[in-house]
Amino acid sequence: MKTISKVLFKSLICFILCEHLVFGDGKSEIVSRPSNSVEKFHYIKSTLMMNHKYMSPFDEKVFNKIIVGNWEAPPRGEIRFFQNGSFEVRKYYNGKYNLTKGFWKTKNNKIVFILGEKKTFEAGVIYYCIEFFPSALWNYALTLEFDRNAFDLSDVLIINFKDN
Amino acid sequence: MQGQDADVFNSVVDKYGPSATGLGNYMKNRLSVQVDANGDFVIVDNQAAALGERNKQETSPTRKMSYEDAQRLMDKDGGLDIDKYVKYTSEAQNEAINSVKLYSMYADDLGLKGGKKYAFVIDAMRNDYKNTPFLNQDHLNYTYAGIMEGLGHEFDDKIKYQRGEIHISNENWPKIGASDCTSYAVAGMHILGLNDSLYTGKPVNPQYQPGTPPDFVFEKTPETKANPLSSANLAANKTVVERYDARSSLIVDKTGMIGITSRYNDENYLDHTYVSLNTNASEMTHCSDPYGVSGRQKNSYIGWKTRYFLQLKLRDDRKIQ
Repeated sequence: MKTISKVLFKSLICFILCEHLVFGDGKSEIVSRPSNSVEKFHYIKSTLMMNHKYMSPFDEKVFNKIIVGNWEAPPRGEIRFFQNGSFEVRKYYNGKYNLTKGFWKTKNNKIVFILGEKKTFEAGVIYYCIEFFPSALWNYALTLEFDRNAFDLSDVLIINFKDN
Repeated sequence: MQGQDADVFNSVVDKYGPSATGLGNYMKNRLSVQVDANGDFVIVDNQAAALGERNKQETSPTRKMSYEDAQRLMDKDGGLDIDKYVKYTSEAQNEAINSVKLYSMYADDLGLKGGKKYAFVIDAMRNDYKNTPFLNQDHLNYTYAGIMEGLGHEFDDKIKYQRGEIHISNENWPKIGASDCTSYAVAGMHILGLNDSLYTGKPVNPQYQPGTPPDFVFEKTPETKANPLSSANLAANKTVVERYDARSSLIVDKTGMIGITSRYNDENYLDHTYVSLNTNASEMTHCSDPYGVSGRQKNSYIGWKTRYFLQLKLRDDRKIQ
């Protein structure tokens, strides 16, 4: 009886493992550029309407959650917004980058970049949206458009997702 | 094709089945894979070599469209049948995408990676396309878009970004695992044989680092600053592209057009190059810092950022008469 229980128990473990290996967690095919968590992608997809431009005034809670992450500032930059209120700007040249650090917060549909005690830079957000491109390799794009150029890089931030 | 190369080739055709048959037969009849003195795999066009350069153009190849084919696109009054034409241009685009995919799979089976694979696919595609005649400008544009979409798909995240690496005017593409934005767009022109410096007299050469090779030419125009950026170089080379101001009321199909962007506060500082893959240029492929080659994706340069659209010049000797 004990042996049968052991066999059944092992079979059950094996079945669970196999299930996990075959089906995974359902997230392994999703890639983003720049790198972001799969949870972010799922949050965006479940929260935002596809191909709809969200203009100000924004839902503050959603807006703050969407901003946190790594964004491309094309064609040669990245801005990274961290949950703890800090940010990094990376200006690339041949794969290497110059780094600018500071803190960020949102205020009246703007992002306020705090670079020092008396040095701040404000960029108004015109809209953000998630779009689907059925023919594209990178078939989802989350875009955030500023009312001005940020850090001499771009007035658009974008995260491309591949969900094939 | 002999020995191990033949075995590899046959396994590719077997593996990928009927879809590979057309190209497979072409390759079987015309091309062979050999190992050169450096130990690299090279594709040799046997028929062209046997016939010589002049005949190579006349007999070349696969994608030459016959008079009869052209006639099929006409309606009963001798005009262009739009339905057939749309089908034709999209077929040209898809055929180019599939050709890149097939050569890429072939390169995988040969164990090629990175820059070697990139060079192999570009050289193989060039063998197919460098003398192909075109019905008209749209046919060329859609073919170019297909080539670039195929390259973007196959080399996404495989070819890094690096400035000033690639020298364009050679017959064979260098085996370098890096590219800048303009070199990437020019790769498709190289495949089409439309960056031929012997023909134009001005090499399309996006080198802009100090110590550039002797055939570097940057044709300065009043619109572009003296800083010889690669995007400015290509935009200024009117021997190979027609240039359109993107901010004019240009309502044309932008599939297969090259977008040239400018900086935020300086519209004459030409900054980046991409290739539009659809009618309104809302999707594109490009090579950017730090990601390198990126496959088809949203074009975030639409609007003020795109300063020019460039269209490849369809030379008279490449038109179906």
